Amino acid sequence: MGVAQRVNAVDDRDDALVRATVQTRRARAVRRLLRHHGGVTGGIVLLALVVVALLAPVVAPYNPIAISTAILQPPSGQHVLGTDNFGRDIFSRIIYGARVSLRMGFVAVAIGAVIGTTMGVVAGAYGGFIDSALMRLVDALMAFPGILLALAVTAMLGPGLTNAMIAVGIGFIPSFARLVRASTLQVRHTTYVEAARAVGCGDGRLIARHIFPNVLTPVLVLATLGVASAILIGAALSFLGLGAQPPTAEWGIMLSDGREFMRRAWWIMAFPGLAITITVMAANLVGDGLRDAFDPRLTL
Amino acid sequence: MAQYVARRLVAMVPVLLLVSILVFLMIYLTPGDPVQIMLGQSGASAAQVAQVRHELGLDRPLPVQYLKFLENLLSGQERSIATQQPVVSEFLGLFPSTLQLAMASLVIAVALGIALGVLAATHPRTWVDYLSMAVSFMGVSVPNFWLALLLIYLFAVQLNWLPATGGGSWRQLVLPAVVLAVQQVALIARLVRASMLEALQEDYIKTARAKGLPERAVRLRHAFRNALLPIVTLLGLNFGYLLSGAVIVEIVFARPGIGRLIVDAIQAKDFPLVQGAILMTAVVYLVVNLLTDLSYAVIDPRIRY
Repeated sequence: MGVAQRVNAVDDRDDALVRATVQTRRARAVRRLLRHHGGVTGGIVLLALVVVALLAPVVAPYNPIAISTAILQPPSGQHVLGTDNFGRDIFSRIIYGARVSLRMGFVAVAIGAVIGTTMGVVAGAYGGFIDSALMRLVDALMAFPGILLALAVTAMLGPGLTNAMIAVGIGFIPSFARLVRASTLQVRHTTYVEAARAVGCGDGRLIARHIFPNVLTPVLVLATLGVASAILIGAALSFLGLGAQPPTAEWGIMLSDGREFMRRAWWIMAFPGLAITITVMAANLVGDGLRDAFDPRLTL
Repeated sequence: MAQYVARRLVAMVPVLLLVSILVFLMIYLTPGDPVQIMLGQSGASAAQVAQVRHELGLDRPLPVQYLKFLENLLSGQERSIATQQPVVSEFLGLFPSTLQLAMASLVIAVALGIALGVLAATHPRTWVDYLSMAVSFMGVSVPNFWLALLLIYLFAVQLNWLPATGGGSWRQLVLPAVVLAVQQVALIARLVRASMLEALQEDYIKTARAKGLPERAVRLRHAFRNALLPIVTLLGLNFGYLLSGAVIVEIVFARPGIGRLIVDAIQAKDFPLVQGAILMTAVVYLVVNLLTDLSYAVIDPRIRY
């Protein structure tokens, strides 16, 4: 064989080796994930919730906002989880509430993740003044703890479910921005990125094909745990009357309604809270599972 | 050391400025005319709106307004629309109540959290460990307003041991403090466990055991003390959870405090009060974070950069 052919053969073998290594690493991560009992349980529960939410009109026995004369009925054969003060079936309201909460979780995290990741990548990739400016902004956002930021944004935009989603989403921007920036800085100094630059790889292509896929993993973990958090904060906002508005069936509002009738009808506040807890636990389990699968050094 | 403190203080200034600007802009990022929102739907005429706008100085250029905003706030002239009291005094009047709640819950949380974490770390992979971690996991997943309602139902409605609402007496402090503590216990326990497990792997532990030191002394005198370091940082981060959780807890238990102040002001569209209270809360939070960073540098001299 000529020299050129031998070099090409070696190149192809290296290429295949690299590809195989990456594939095995991913396969190993997936296998670790599937072996994680908590993560799998959480995943199944979450999946079930999504399915139920999507099939709400089919699964729910009653219309969630239909008023009836059967007010404050305890759980019975007719109404599995009882009725509230307007005679609305609690079980149906919980099923429809799943739609609202899951949407809140995913949309809010999506907003935070997209904006935060973009900020993080730009800050990490370009550095210098842009980096400083963006990180100062992130610090300013982090000066408002937890729900306070969501409250501030809701104060500006007014009550409502969409506004609440935006408010909660903005709260996630700092975490994603910082995480992605750290990841970007790590990746930026690796040899292959330098090599790509040397070959003349443009900025956009560099970010898209080399930097971005490597920051994806921690972002995924943060996003999953973020969904759990978003559902909690969203329900809290609705509980305060600043999120979803009546007569929408939403778990937070149901808890707020249930508060008034605690003595006479404990079921109004008991079951929506349980629903929130189960959903949040499932999301947290999946998040923990992902984190342990992708970075087993963190498990103890 | 003094240099480090000075440097951190200086670094805080741009963030403070940015925060105050963001809060100031809140009223302008609101869709709709701020003056009309403040006057409500009372059918004010165009002349009245213009007059109020002039009175409030809203027809001046933005940077001038920003400076006026700061000046008014600090001098105590910025008044709440509802009560006509200076915003600063409203805030300072209610701050002690929130602080009381925060401290009480912190004491409970630290005591329980450390106990649980140490227990889990010293009996790894036994039912004690799994149970504590399960409890910790649930603590983070349960919505605190639901837990508050459940506890009210159990202790106030059914058993009638503790009052459900209000503030002032220590009995009214118990339930809110417990609810607020739950989430913190979860985080503290997890961190103490991880921290102690790591400390127990160190060589000096082997030496202590080889010396013949009783196991209890090994755990308390050596492992635990060294495990304490990261917990200090956590307490600073914790303050954020405290403030954020206090908002909900105060509302559910109808306790006077900053949280209720802010939410009520938002619902009443009392913008000066909302802006002032949020700004001051953010400042408090930033100061606490700074103090935590500084204390960490005091404990571990390697951290001063």
